[in-house]
Amino acid sequence: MNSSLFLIIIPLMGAFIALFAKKANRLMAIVITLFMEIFSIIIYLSGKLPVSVEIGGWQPPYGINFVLTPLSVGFIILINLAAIISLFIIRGEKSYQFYSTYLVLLAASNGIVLTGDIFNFYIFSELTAFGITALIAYPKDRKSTGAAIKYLILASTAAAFLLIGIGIVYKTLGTLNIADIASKISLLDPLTLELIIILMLTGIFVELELFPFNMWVPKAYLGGTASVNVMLHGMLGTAGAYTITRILLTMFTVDGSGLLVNVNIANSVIVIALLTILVSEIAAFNEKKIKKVLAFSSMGQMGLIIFGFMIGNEQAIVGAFYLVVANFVAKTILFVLTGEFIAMSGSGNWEDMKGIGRKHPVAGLAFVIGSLSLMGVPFFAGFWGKLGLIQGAINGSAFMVVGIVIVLITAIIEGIYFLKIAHTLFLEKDSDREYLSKARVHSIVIAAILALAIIAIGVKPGLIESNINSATDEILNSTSNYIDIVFPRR
Amino acid sequence: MKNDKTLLMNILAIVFLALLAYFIYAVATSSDVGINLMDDNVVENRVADRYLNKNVLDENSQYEWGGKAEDSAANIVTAVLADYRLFDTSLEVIVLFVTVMGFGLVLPDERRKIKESTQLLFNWLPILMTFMLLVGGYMFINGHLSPGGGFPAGAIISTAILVGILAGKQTVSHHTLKIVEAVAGISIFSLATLGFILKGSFFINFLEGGNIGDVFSAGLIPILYTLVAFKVSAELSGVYLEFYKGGEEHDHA
Amino acid sequence: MTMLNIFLLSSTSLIFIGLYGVLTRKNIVKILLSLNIIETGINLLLVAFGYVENGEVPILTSSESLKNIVNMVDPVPQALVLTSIVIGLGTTAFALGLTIRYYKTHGTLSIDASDEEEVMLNE
Repeated sequence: MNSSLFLIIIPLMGAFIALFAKKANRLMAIVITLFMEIFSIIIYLSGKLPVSVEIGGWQPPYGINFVLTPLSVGFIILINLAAIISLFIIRGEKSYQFYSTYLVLLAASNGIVLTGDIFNFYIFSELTAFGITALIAYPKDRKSTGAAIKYLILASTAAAFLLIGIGIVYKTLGTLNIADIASKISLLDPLTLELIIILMLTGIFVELELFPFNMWVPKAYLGGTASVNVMLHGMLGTAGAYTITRILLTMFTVDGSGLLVNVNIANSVIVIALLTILVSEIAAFNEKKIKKVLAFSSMGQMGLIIFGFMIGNEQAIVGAFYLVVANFVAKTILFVLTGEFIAMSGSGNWEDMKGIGRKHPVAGLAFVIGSLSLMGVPFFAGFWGKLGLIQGAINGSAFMVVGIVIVLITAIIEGIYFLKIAHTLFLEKDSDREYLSKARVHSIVIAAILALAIIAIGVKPGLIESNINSATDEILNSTSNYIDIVFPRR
Repeated sequence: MKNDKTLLMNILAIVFLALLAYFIYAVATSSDVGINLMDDNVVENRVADRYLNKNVLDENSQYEWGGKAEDSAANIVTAVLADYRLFDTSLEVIVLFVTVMGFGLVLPDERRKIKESTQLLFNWLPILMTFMLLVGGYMFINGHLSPGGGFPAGAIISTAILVGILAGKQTVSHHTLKIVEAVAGISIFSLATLGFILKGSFFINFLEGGNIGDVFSAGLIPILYTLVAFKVSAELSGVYLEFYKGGEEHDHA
Repeated sequence: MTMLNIFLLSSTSLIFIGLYGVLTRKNIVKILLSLNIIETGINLLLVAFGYVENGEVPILTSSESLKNIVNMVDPVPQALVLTSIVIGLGTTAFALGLTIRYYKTHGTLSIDASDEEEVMLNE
C-alpha cells in the first residue's frame, strides 16, 4: 500500500507541469483527477484496508505516516468526486495559475484526510487555505479580493492557534504522531489537556464554518465562481468533516470510545454547533442572493454534522455520516445548477430566476430533490441523517432535547426558503423572457445523476449502510481500529 | 458612533485576552496529576532522543565521529528536516510555490521600469553578486554539516538577484525562473518516487550514507538541498521580478 | 527566574500583542504586521519548548560533541520552526499581494470597506 502516496505526488507534479501545459492544462487536470478517483476506489476495494503507510522508511512515531482506513479512503473518494465535478463545470478559466493551484489544492485536501501526523496535518491545512484563497481571488474583482483577504487573515490566525497547540503537545507528550498522542492522552494533566483541545479546536473551527468564525463563508461563496464553490463545499467541507472525526474523536477521547475526554468542552461544542445551525438558517431565510442562501445552508448542515458527532453514541454518529454523504451530494447538485441558473438569468438573486424550471424541467427537478434532501424529507437521503441524529439525541443527556427542538425548527425554516425558491423556479411564469445563455447539458446530466443517487439512498439506505457502519465502528473503537494499526506491536 | 464601536472592540479584545492569559496562568500553575505544561524538559521521553542517538531503525545501534550511522548528517536539525521528516519539507516547498504563484496572480498589472542606479553600485555589482552566490552555494552544500540549508541558501541567492535589479541589471528572465522552478520541483518529487521504485518507500534516503562529518555524506540530503535552494531562489526572485516591467509574459487568457 | 521562563514569558507576550492587533486594527497592513508578530512569538515559543538549561547545539562537530548528546537541545522544535517560518513568509507575501489588489479595487486599506459595499448592494 506504499503506492498510496501517488495520491499526493501525482497532482503535485502535475501542478509543476501545468506551468507549461498551456492549452492542455484543463485536460491534464481532468486526467489526473480521474486517475485519483479510480485509484482511491481501487484502494477501497482492494481489501488491504486498514493499513498504515510509513513514509521515508522510518517507523511511525519517528517518521511521518499515512493511515488508510475505510473511513479515510471513503472520504477521499468523496473529495475526488467533488474535484471531478468542479472541473467539468468550469467556465472559461484557461490560465495556468488556476489549474496549478487547483492541483495543489487537490493534493492537499487528500493529504489532510490521509495523514497520521499532526504537524503534517498543519502543513496540509495551510496548503488548502492558500490554494482556496488563490482560487477565490481568481476573478480579481472587488468581491473576490475582499473575500480572499478576509479568509486568508482568519485562516492564518486560526492556524497560529493550531501551531501553538501542536507545540504544547510536543512539549508535554514528546510526539507528533496522532495515534501516539491518542494513546498517551490520559497521561496529561487535565487543565493542560483542556488548553490543548481549545487551541486545536480554534485551529479547525474556521474550516468547519462554525459560528463565531464563519463570517468568511458567505463572502467566499459569493466571490468564487461556481466551480470554486463546488471545491469549497465538496473538497474543503468534506475534509473539514473528516477533521472533526480524526482530531476530536480519535485523539481526545476516553479510551477510544468516541466520547470527548472533557465533558465541558463537548457540551460547549454542541452549543456552538446549535448556535451555528440557528444563526445560519435564520440568515438564509432573509437572503436574496441564491449563492448566499446556499452558503448559509452549508454552514447549517456543518453544524448538524458536528452536533451528531459530538453526541457520541452510535445512532448519532451513523446519522452524522448519512448527513455527510447527503449534504455532499445535495449541495453539489445545488451549486452546479446555481452556476448555470446565474449564467442564464444574469443575476445572482433567486427572484430573477422565474420559470427556469419550466424551461429545463430536469434541472429544476434535480434542484427540488436536492433541497428536499437537505430539509430531511422522508425518502430522500438527508432523512436518514436527521433521523439518526434525533434518535441519538433522545438517548443522550436531557439537554440534547433542546438540540432536537432546534434541529426540527430549522428544518422547517429550511423547508420554507427552499420551497420559495422552488416555487419561483417552477410556478411563476415569465414566458417571453430571453436568457443570456443556454444551460449546458453536461451540468444538467451531472445534477440528474446525483439526484438519482439521493433518491436511491433515500429509498434504500442499505446501499451504503455497510460502509457507514464500518466507519462508525472505527470511531467508536478507535483504539483497535486506529492506534493498533499504526503500532501493531504495542 | 464609529469611535464608540472602536472603543467597544478594544475593551472586548482586552477582556478576551485577559481571560485567555488567566487561563494559561491557571494551566501553568496547575498541580493536578499528570504531565503539566511547565514540567521540566526531558528529551529522553521524546521522539528527539532517537534522532539524536540515530537509532530509529535499530534501538541498540551506536555510532562514532567519522563512522557510519543510519543518517549520517552531522547537523541533527537537518537530519530531522531533510530525512526523518522529509515529507514535511517537500510540502513546505509547495507552500512557497503556491503562495508566490498566488502573489503573481493577484498583483495588479502596473509594472515599474528597472532603472540604472549609481555607477559605483553598477560596477561593483559582479563582485557583490559573486560573493553572495558563493555564500549561498556554501550554505546549501554544507547544510548537513553546519547551520544553513536549502531555504536560507535560496533566500541569499535571490537577494543577489534583487541587488542586481536594484543596481539596474536584470540577470535572469522570468521565463528562466519558471523553468528552474518547475524542473527543481519535479526533480524533488521524482527523487521521492525513485525511492519507491528502488526501495519500496517514498521519500526514502536511498543513497549510501557516507561517514559523519564528511562533505559527501548524508546520502540524498545535499542533492535535495541543492534542488530546494534553486527552487526557493527562483520563487523569491520571481516575487521581486513581478514588480518590474518586462518581468513577466502574462497569459491573458 | 530561569532563562526558560523568560523565553516563555516574552513569547507569550508577543503572541498576545499580535492577537490584540489582529482583533482591533482596521488597516489591513497593520493586521498583517500583527499576524507576523504572532508568528514570531510562536516561533520563539516552539524553540523555548525544546530549550535545555546549559544545553548544546544539536550539531556534531567532533568526537567530543558525541559525549554531550544527552545535553543537546531538542532538534525537533527547531525543524518545526524552520517550516513555520517558510509558511509565515508565504502568508505574508500572498496577503501583501492581495492587499495591493484590495487597495486598487476598494480605494482604501480598511478591512470594513468590503462590508460597507455589501450593505449598499442589499439596499
